[in-house]
Amino acid sequence: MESEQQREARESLEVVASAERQSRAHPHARFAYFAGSTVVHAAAVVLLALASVPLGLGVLVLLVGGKTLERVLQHRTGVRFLQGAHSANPDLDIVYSIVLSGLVLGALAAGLHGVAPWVAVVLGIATAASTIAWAVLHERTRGRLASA
Amino acid sequence: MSAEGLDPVIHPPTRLAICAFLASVDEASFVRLAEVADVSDSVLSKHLSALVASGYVEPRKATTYGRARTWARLTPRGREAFEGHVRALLAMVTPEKSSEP
Repeated sequence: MESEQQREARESLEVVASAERQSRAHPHARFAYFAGSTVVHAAAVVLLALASVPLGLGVLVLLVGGKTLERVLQHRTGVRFLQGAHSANPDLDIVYSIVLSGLVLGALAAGLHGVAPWVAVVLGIATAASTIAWAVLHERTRGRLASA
Repeated sequence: MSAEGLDPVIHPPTRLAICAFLASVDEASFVRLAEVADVSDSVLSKHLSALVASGYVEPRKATTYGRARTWARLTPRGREAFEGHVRALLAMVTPEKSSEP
């Protein structure tokens, strides 16, 4: 038979699970952030590879586009998922940094050394796919505590 | 309720909800936290102040689109305390393995 302590502990865990469920009520924001920013970054790579815009403008699109999207999502959802260094989720920062660095280097390579456009397109698609797949995995990992 | 590992600062349901939500995101706005905890602004402010005073939550003021907003994030110390608290709760509801055959 459940004791008073166990009943109170179970109720507390329900509070925790409920709050975590609410944080996951915004997976679309996290997904949109990753998908949107990745598309912006990938677009910058493709544009640079096609030499349709100067290198400087491409990098500017990459930085301003990603940052603007982040701010809009933060404002609309009241939740922030990324905040650079010293984040509560270092794994998120590491993956994001690797992806961003890869794209910037890819853009530089494409713009400066004339990498074939299809290489840049493949790079963009692969990056988007891997980033989104990671975001989904991250969501599932977070669900473990709530279902405990 | 008394048990080892339970943190009296986090234990009230409103603070527990705040910590659980903040543990799942990097940062959340004051407005969003009030929705999650289902409390008024004044009540939330009181609980957040207690968490801030304990060093569990770090507030940040920011202006977005001309509107001042308060954001809050769990500090590493707060995350550690929250995870310890949840572990203690889970231990309380999980039946101990009996050594009897």
